[in-house]
Amino acid sequence: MIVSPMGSLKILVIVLCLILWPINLYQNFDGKISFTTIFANDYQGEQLILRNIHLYPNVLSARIFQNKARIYLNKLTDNFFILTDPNNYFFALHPEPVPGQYNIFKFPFLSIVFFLFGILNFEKYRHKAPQPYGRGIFSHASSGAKSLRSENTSLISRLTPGVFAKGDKKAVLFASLFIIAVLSMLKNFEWLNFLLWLPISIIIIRGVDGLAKNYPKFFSFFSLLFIVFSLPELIRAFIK
Amino acid sequence: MKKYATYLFLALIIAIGIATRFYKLGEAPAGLYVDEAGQGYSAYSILKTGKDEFEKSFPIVFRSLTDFKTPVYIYLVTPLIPFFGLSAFTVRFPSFLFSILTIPVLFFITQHLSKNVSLAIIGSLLLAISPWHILFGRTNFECNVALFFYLLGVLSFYLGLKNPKLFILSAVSFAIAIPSYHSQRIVTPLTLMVLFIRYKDLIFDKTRKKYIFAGIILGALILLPTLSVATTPGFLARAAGLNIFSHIRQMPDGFIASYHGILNPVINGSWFLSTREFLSLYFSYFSPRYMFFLGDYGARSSFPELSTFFLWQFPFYIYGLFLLFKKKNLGNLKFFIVLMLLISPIPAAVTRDPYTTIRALPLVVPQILIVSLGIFEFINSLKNRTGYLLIAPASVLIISYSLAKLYSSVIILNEYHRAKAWDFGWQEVVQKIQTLDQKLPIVVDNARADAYPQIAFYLKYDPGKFQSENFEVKPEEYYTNLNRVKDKHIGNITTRPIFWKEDLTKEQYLIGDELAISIQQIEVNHLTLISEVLYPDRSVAYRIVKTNPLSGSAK
Repeated sequence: MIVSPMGSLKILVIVLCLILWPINLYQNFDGKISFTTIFANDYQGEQLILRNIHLYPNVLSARIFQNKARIYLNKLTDNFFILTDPNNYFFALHPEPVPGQYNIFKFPFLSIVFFLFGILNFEKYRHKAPQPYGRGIFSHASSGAKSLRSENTSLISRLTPGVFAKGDKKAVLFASLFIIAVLSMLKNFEWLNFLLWLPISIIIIRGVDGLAKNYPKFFSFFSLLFIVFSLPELIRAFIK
Repeated sequence: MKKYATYLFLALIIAIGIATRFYKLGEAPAGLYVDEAGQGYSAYSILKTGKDEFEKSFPIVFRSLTDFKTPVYIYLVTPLIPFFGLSAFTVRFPSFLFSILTIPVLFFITQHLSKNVSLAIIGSLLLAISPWHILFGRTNFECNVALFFYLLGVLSFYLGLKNPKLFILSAVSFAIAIPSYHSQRIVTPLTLMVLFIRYKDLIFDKTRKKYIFAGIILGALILLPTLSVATTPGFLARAAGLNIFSHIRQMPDGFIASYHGILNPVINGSWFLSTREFLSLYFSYFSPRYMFFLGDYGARSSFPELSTFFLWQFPFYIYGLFLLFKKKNLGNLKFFIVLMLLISPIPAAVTRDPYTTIRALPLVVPQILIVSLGIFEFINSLKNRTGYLLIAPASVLIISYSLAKLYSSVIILNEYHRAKAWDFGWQEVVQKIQTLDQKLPIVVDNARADAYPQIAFYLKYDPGKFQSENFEVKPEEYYTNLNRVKDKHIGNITTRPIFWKEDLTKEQYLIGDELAISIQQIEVNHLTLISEVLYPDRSVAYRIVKTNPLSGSAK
């Protein structure tokens, strides 16, 4: 098996991208998974609404903006925007982390470049049916820049056969949205949001693949920078 | 769309803009923040004496509370004082005026760059009802004036490509934008650099060359005073104190203080931590979480229960972003949006505060245009007649809801919940002070916050007297000496911390907030409670008490 330098670089970049979240999860997981929903009674929220209601000139206007449904709608919106916030995944929710939670680092921060490239080219991605597994995914992944230009042998199709089959983009999108919708209804989804590791990883891999294919020189340069900046993040995962 | 109908729509949008910004201007927010009062008093001092309160003639940046405020806003307030008096309305008026003027400027930019009147109308309407833009249009913030001049510079630059004389107006506008607000020291030069690179062939051809050089010379002349102090500690004070790369005050985010091993330069290296911090702050400005839910964390730069954008705009923002990258026929509008989108958050992202909408105000423009793009294409995608028929009532409903939401947050909730943040109560305190025995000294506690700007402002205290009673630095050290004298004298009033042991030994009035003068202190020290100023939620804002040295409390 011959591994080209570009192929090796891609594997290294992908591994560095994807292992941070599982490591940080393993290091920090406290075993407390709660399935309590946001619809539990919120006494404080109700008191705040009662306090605000008397500020309005009439009951109707007060009820439009101050009602109990808003308490739950706010929590749902809050959760939804946390789950769709790129800073959640690449910067541990900095600059405004969730108080009282671990807010672990999930992906190395520079991998946001791969993620954005993957997202922006999500639509462009044309996939043909994946070939059988015979040669193993990493042999395909490392088969060099030349082979990467072929859609048939692109890394994403090797790493995610079946997911990126016909109509697969929609599958990834709807699976992600479904997970986000379900998690948004939980009071605390800090550990359960690991379910999103897979769809995000697919997009990142797609970004790595696309950048390497379309901008090989930039990819080589940026990957070196990425490695330099990702190593401290990886080491920090082991420091308590 | 016919021309008269277009201008009718624009006039209607401007009317909405005026209504959302002028209603209770100067009354809501009810307080007057220390910076607003400081700028107002500096303007008053310039008007009366030609010098600021530190005896500096026509400063280039205003020393104020040693935070060195930008000058344009203060010089705009100065000529208004003879007409409107020294009031909260007056100090907030330039912000209001320029935020209104920004609406047609954005309309013409969008129309010129996209050749799409409908898109321009949607964009300017969204700006007219934008919570982000309204906030800074109702209060004394220099960023709004700077944004107007910046956009006028962009508009006249593009128009200048056809009518080169307008390059001069463009240069003047950009030159005024730079000293108008700190962020523009970064945004304007970067914008100019990109515009010059992109249009170098057009602007340096024979017919346009002379106007470009005339503009550059005029712009440089306007900037000359600013450049003359650009390297002084005063001019750089703001940037030095706030930027994330300066670790004098605070270590970078993520610094592990307990780790001292050999890997310290790697895991705690500022090259790594500061880069990560900058990027996290930078990306937060594009995050829907901040735009549509959290908003600005600052109590004065946000309204309760309202973010920078309305929640209903979120799907259009996502759709607009998609269109921005997918549509090929957006031409110069796409370039303009992307340019502003990338440049605008930079000044804000180099400062430590999360999602500061003041410093990132220019970002409101590209983000509004993205939402507009989403709305425009959504309306266009409605194929059938029923869809079109539903648009008008839906639009009226959404705009009505947005205006009602603004009223709820800006007028009702903000007044109740954010009174303290707006330094509510000083006007009432000053009214009480004027009824006290003027033979006795008055001490106003400033242990936690400066109060002299508000007192001097509401007393309309003679600036000449203020200058003679207070000395901070020599005029020649105005921009270089950052030492600050916190104690200030305004006639028989002194602003300084209360020193209980000494202050109880003589008969005088003490003024302070609830922490400075508690009920227990009044009882223990046998003070006479003269008056209490309350916040709208009935909690105590300030107390005025009189000492009784003969009661034995000073022992």
